[in-house]
Amino acid sequence: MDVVLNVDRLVKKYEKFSLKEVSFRIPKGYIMGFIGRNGAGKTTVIKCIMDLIPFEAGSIQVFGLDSRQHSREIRSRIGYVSEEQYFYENMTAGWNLDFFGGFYPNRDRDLAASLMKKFDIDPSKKVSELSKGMKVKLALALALAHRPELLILDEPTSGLDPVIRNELLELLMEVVQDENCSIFFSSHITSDIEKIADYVTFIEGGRIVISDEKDAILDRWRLFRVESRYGSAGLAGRLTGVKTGEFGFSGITDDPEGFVRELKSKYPDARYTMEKVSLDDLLVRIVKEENAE
Amino acid sequence: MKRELVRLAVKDFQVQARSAKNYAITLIVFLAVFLLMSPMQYHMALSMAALITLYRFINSTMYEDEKNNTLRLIDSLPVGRENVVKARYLSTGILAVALLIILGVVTAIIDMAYGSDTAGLAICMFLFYVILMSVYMPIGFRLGYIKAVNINRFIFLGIFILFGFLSALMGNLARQQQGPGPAEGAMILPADMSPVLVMALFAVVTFLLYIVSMKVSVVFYKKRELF
Repeated sequence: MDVVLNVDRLVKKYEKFSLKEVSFRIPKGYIMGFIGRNGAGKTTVIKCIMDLIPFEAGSIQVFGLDSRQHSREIRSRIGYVSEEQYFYENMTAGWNLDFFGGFYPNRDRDLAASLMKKFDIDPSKKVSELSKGMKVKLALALALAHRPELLILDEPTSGLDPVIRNELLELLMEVVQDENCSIFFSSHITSDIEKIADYVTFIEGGRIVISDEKDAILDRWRLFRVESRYGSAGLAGRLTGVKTGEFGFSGITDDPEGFVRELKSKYPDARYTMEKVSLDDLLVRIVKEENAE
Repeated sequence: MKRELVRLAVKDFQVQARSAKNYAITLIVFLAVFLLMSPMQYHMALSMAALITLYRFINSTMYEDEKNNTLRLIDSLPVGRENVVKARYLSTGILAVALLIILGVVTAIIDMAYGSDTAGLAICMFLFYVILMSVYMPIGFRLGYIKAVNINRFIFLGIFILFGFLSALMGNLARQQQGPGPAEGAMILPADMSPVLVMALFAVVTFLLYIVSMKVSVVFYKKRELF
């Protein structure tokens, strides 16, 4: 399987925060969702990939090229949408698209024009007159107009209303129909990732907690709710992100069979429920677990 | 790379095209006030007007980039950081040369009407201002517009106070020795050098300082943390 992005034991240190040996990879033609709460390290990882900030250790390979040595070539093959959209606000949307897009050697003017039309952006309108959603679309048009092989999106949907968010997600699904393009999409809105991602990577406290195919994650992890009378320290310890309530405790595990076996061996009549987890459950429980450690 | 430079340099003019009217009004008001106060110092007024235009251009381009955070977007494109700096020096240089030509021609025309010879002095004064800009621009690339503009106020103030002090000192000396007036005194032309040669030498020195300033700015800007 071709890999478009390979992040290997990436370390970046700040005074109060650091990335701790972050590793993951994206296969060609797939969408990877990069999930983590605000401040977990998503944007820092993306900035390292884009060679916008230096890092202390590890390596990043994009299209098989070292991100620091071939930064320029890599950027010409990437489409990047940052968390905030930066344009010359007093200039028109069309001028901005033409100016910034002109730095890409493969820029396709016709494609840029058709994307503007498709996104319903008036090229003669000043950027300052565009809504946040329209600015994101303009940024996306800029990122797509040179037919990138990898699209890196840093929380593009945050702050957008559900209708615009859904529109954007549909657009991304369309983009990935072209198997040449892979997408790396960071967000703390797990429902967005759940809708479109093939692979999911969880980051918490600068550390990768899970990185796998989305379906495999959702198939493997289960949420258990167990009555409190069966709550021994050993059992709860097998679960991640344990929450204790008046009537029992709940938690998730990626070894449901093992948990049930142990529960039944200790309490043959034990009453429990086992549910599929959503990415949201997973994020909340993992964050809880990490913070408890 | 050349296309990149030209694209970035042209952008500096494009983003300011809407301000052309404001530029014109400022200059007209400035010239009117200055010339009403001392009509025969027209060469001073014109060179100051050229300085104002150049200084405003540099500040506005920096301001537009920082207000809109577009340096961050440019940094994520396949564009070398050194080219961002070089392009700014290219656009500023083009404007400086254009202003120099206009200044020389306009002053020469007025000189002809008054029968005086101040065009060389006006040009040399403007070149001196370009040297000041060469000091200012690296500060801008290192610290960003807001900090640079504040620091620069003090630098300019200091330089102008020093310049005024030296000018007055030389004027006094000249009066004592019955020598040249303060304006000529400031130039201190060696007796056997032609004014054209002095001007050409001054222009070369200014150009070299401008290039050194650009190299320093490249180093500063490469180290600057935008994110």
